[in-house]
Amino acid sequence: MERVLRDERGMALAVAIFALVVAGALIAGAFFAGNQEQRLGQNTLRVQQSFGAGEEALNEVVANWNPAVYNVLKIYPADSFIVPTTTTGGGTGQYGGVIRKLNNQVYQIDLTGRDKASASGALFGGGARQRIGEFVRIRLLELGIGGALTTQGSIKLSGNAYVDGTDHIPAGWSSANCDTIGDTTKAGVRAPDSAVVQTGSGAHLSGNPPFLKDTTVSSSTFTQFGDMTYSDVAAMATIQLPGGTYKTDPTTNAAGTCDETNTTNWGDGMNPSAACGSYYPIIHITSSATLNGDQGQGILLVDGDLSIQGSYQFYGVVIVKGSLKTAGGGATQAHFWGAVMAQNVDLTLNSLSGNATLNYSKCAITQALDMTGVVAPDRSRNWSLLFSGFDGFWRFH
Amino acid sequence: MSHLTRRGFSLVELLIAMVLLAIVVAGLYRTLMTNQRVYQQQTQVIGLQQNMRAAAAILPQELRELNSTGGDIYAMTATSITVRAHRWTAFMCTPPVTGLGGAVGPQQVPGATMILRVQPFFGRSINVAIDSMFIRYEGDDGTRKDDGYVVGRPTLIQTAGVTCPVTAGGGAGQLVTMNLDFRGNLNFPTSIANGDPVLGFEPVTYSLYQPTAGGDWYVGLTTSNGQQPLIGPVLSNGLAFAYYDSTGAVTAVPARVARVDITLRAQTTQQIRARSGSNSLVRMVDSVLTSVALRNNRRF
Repeated sequence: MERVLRDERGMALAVAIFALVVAGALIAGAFFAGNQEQRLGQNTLRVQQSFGAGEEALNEVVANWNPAVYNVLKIYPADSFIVPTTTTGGGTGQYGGVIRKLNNQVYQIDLTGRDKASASGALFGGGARQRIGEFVRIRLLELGIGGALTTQGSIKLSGNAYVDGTDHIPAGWSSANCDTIGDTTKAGVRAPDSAVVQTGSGAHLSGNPPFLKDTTVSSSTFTQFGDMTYSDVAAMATIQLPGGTYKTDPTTNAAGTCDETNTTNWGDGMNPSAACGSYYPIIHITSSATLNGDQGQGILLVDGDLSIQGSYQFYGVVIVKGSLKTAGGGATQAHFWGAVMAQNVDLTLNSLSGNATLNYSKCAITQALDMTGVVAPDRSRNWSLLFSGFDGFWRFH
Repeated sequence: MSHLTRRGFSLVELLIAMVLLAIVVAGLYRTLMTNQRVYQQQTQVIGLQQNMRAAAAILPQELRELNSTGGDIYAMTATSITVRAHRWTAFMCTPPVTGLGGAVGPQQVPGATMILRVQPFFGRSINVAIDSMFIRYEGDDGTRKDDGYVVGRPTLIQTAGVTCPVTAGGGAGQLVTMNLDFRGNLNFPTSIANGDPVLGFEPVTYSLYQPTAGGDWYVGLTTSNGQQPLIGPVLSNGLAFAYYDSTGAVTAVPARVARVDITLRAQTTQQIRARSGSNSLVRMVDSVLTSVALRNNRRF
């Protein structure tokens, strides 16, 4: 009897294997469903996190806009700036992309954001990414320019000094880059009190009106520009100089490109198509200064007094906290193209061949502000979720 | 003892074995059936949640890019919204001629032309039959306060042999003939700058949709190609929109909408057990609320 039982071959192993297979299939099925759900959930989460990284990236680029890098780009497609892969401020993701200068006013920021896990590159299938674009526009400094010359204190015009508030396109500049609408004609002089203006026999005031009495002109006119202060603009300066006497001229480096490391190279307004023609620095002189040749363009801030000698020419905006004094004039037409704001002014032009000291130029002002300003999102329709028809993706990349 | 003379199982042994086997098989069967039900239930729930995820992704993407102040919301109700949906973005390399003889030109300019770059071009290609375009308007260079967009209706697209001017960087272009409407903006020379962006749109409607009478409801997408189900099935009140202005107050004025709340109430495709051990079968329902802030409203 014992031998019979010992010799019988049972089916326990087969049943056990069958049961294991069934149980395994059941567990695998449940695991598959659960795994699918987990993956879907994670993917959705990563897409949202990537979107957040992309939006944060846009804000970071706008907040940290560097005019010295971005504003000097050539207009697309001749140039563009590659935003390197960067970790977002909160460390929740990464972004990278490109900044395109579409024209002098408008830029496109094209960034792709990735959540932290996707950016690590360890995810099967590559993870998530979101490509977001924003159109930004130069946020012009709100100078409140009401005249070719704005001053709070006394004004003395003598010799052949001429202040003209009629809009001028600087000699040699293309009218195609200068619009013809808006407040193109200004007052010649804008000041709070007409009694402070002294005009010699040969001096002229022109504009609409030639003199504008504006009692709102105060010391804050020279220090507060919309939501920015004089100090804010000075802090953005590309060139910082102590007081002194300077001769400034455009210079190029060995490669023939504009040498922007030279602190006495203030651009080339006389030759807009030359290498330094598109270089518009913000120059901040921390004390009184004298300029005795030859030219500059951009925004000039002088903490003290500014004295101009000879035929010096400046294109753009000049803000002088102290007094502005000019003398001489040589054979050239004007000292300033754009607008000047100075607490006190003494303009004297001795040359018989010269006929102006200050010409209002909306184009020179706009160019200077466009090339030196930071940006803000365009007024409307600035934001878009980019999706490239070229690579065939629809929204999600 | 030879094998032939061995004794077999007794009847009692056989009965006991069969009963035990029956118990084991019944247990296995029950486990199998339970697991199958759980699997089906999971599949249904996954489908339901995926539907809601899709709704939480697709609808906000579409609505986020609206500019309600610019008229992008054509119509809105508690269960549907008809909008001008963004479809493509391009850059000009030759702007349309603006102004008239150096002075201010007319508001309507039929047959105006511009050249768009072929690359980069974001989105689908231009569809002359249904697309409208917004062309950036710079206006006065000296201020941002008049910046905006003018409207173009494309009538003809030509690509063969079209290139961007060398002075604008060259490259392949597409010539767009259109009817230009300045919509109250001054049409003067240089008011549209070269390089400015051009945005393409098509009208779409999102609403509740019941393909067959008495059948399931869906979130439907209506385009020029007709209506089709996009997300679902949902309840008969499965899609609800609420509109808020910039102060957070409810508004019924399309041009004032700054935020849209989307409520989706979706249900499973099939019935599943209401709860474990229950015999009652129901279609499981879940809901999601998504708030979307409109990004492109005019800000000043």
